[in-house]
Amino acid sequence: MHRSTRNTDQLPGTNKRLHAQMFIWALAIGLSPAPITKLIAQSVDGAFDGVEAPAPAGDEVREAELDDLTAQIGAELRCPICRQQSVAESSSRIAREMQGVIREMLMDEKTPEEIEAYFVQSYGEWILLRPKVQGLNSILYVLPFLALILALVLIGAKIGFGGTTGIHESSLTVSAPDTGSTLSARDREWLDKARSES
Amino acid sequence: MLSALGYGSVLAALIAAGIMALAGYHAGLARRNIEFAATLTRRAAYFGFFAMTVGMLVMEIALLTHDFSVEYVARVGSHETPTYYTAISLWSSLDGSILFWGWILAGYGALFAFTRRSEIDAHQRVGGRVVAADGGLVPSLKTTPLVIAVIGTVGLFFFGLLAGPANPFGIVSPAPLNGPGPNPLLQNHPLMGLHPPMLYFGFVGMTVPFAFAIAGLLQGNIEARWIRDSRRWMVAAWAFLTMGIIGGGWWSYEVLGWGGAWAWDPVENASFLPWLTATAFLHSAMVQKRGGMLKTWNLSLMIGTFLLTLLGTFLTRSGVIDSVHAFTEGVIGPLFLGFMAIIALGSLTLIGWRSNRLYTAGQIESPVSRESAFILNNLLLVGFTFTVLLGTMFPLLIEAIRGDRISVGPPYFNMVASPIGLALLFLMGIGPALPWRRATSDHIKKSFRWPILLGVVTAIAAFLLGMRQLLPTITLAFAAFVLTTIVQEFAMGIKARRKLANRSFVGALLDLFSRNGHRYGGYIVHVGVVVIALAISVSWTWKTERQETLRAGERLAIEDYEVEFVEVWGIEEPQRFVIGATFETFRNGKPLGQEQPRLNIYHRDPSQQTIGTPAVRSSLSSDLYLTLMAIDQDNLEHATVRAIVNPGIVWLWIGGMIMGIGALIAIWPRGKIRVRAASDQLLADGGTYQLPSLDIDSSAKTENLERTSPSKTEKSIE
Repeated sequence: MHRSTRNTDQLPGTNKRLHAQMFIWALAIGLSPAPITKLIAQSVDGAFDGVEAPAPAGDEVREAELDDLTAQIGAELRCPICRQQSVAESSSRIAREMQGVIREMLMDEKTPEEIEAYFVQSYGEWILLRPKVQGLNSILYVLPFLALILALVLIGAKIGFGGTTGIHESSLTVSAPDTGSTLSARDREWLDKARSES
Repeated sequence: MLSALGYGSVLAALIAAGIMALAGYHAGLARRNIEFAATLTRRAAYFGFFAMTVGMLVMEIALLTHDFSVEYVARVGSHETPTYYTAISLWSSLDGSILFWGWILAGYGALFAFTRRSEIDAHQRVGGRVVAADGGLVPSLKTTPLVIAVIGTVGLFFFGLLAGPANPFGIVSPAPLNGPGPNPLLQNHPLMGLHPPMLYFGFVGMTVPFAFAIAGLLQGNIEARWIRDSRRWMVAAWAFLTMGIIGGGWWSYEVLGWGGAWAWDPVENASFLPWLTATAFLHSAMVQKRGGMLKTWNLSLMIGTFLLTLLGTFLTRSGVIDSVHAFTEGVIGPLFLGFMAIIALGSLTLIGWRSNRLYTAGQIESPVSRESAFILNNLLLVGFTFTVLLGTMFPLLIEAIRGDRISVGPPYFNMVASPIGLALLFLMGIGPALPWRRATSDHIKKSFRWPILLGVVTAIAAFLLGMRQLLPTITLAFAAFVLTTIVQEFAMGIKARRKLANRSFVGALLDLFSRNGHRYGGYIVHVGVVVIALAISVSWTWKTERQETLRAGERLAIEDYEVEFVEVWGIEEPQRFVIGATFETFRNGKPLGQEQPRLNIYHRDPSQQTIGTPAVRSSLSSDLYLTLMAIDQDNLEHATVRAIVNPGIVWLWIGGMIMGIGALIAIWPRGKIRVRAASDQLLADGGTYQLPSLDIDSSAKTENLERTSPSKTEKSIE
């Protein structure tokens, strides 16, 4: 609707669209939480997969795997007497005992889900450092995402991804303040001095 | 005696705050007797600071002389506590913290009044005559008393707490002979003297931008100078908060013994939330400075940041984090909540009332512009704030609704923080390289050719060198991208400066900092952020740990380190019993020296908990972190030690220092060289840059410049 006020040096429409697309793509790479998070989780999980370490033989492999799994499960469980430390991090006795339990259950071929369920049964849902995605908890996972998308859409409309935005000439210049003209030269000197000290 | 003196000075400060508020609002809003009121406002601000300084010194004297008749000393002092920890126990408990908070608040009020002293004089001189429209003063002159008035109003609340429910100067009679000493965790490491004051200076400093927001709304005029000044105060507070947060991470790393610096603990989150919104403001304020847009948004960020500092104090001090039901046990919690409600409602009302004056016809011209990058940065930062706030408050909500308790911990926060953090890192490479208004395709090609190339090359090189983890690879590529952009910016600035002023390379670089510190200081801050991002991703990905029980002479091997157990020992100190173990450490077979992780039991700690002191051997590539887990109490023959190798974690602190240096460059007073810098800037930026402040002062100065002779100009400029 403001097309008539456009500057002559404005980019042609196609070029502008191209830029907009580039920008969206660039942002999409940075912004898409779901795939990135998944990849990060995988990479973190994979961090101890022994790519660098020389492969130990037989039992040692099993031991290393057990250690890793224990640490992974322990990182998701709260140390019951600590403030905000996980079982894997805490040096408290109870956390070490829980690590032992995790390890034993793993040796009994229990799955991580079963192990977590066991601790939830003993301590309540409070023991999980990342709440399960169910019931009210879903808010925790859905709301930030929704808010982000909503804000993106609103801002996208505002900064002109829609393509209908023109320029307000008024936005290009800042109008000079209207107070200066009423000052006498002497007062102005005072003001300058005052302002330069702030 | 000390109690009476201390309490008296708190009351005096309370009266001073009342005068600051009354006289300040009068000077800013009324039409008569404004000169007198403005001077009174300033003097009240000085007096308030004096009174609070007396109050704080009295408390320090009481602490250091172990005057247990003073309630606070009886609660946190003990004869056995070393002098250093006695002195800093001022902030080891609630009442003392609020006293310290109040002192800093009064200090900010006095400092603000002092920096504007001649303006208040000018106010007195021109006062009645610079009137015209509404019989008052010119807008920016009204700002000063109003800002002090708002600081005074906030002071009324805090000094009121000190005079009433959080009075640290209560009298204990008969005075006990000794006290319990501070919380053991708070007297276990010297860093405790460093980061809490930083955090308080940051938290309380956010009051000044908030006061600017309210002052601007009250006078209905938010001009260019207003946003420039409030941003400057925000940068100062933000820098303190940044150092406080990083320092807190360092403390937690050196004390808590789990080998990490950040646990998304509610207390940590409480300091992080206002930091996020303040960071958002620092960027969006630039959009307003330039084109007048985003006024309401900026006001909301200033007010929101202040509210979040209050929320943080509320969350950490009311006990509500441990259980919703702890809330009603103290009186501080409800008072804070009420104060926050008043601030929030009052601010909203003011914004609604002034909404017609907050509208700017401006519009973002192109999605490919620096404005757009800033807006996206704000979106991400505020989204981040929202998510962290939700995660922190969620257990409380659930407990209030369903009655059962859940935990929201590091796995959740890391999951949401990594993508947002990476997106912000990415944007940091885009924003500075985009021009204001809109970018042409030529400009984009020119600006992003090298950054993208180097980013991609870095990623490929990392892959070829055997890096298979995604997180550090992306971080590394983004870091290369961002750093290239920053180097390009510096190169362009230096080139222009050398051409224009015929300066040497170093001279030109220094010129950039001294003439346009806002911008180039900001880039240095960005470098610090990149360093921190790398440190986080590297230490997170490659951290390894091993725990073993060793007998004398036995070794534990981890990565390129070896740890050999020597002996267990114990010493009795006045305030605690220390059990330690000595280990010889080696790296690649070469001896590094002895390390002594310890366990401490504080005599006067009622819970008799063991507080560990890990031994940390730092190097630029990795830290060896030893925690003593257990010892053989019967024969002292063996010890259980946990060894953690933390790669690159030192760079967290180094990055924090770089951020601090950048912020210092940005706020370093440059005052009078502004005008010349602005005209140089116009040339340096190839004309895409507008004179930064077309507000009254610089235009007036430019006129001055034209009027006076060249030699005199030089003199007045330098």
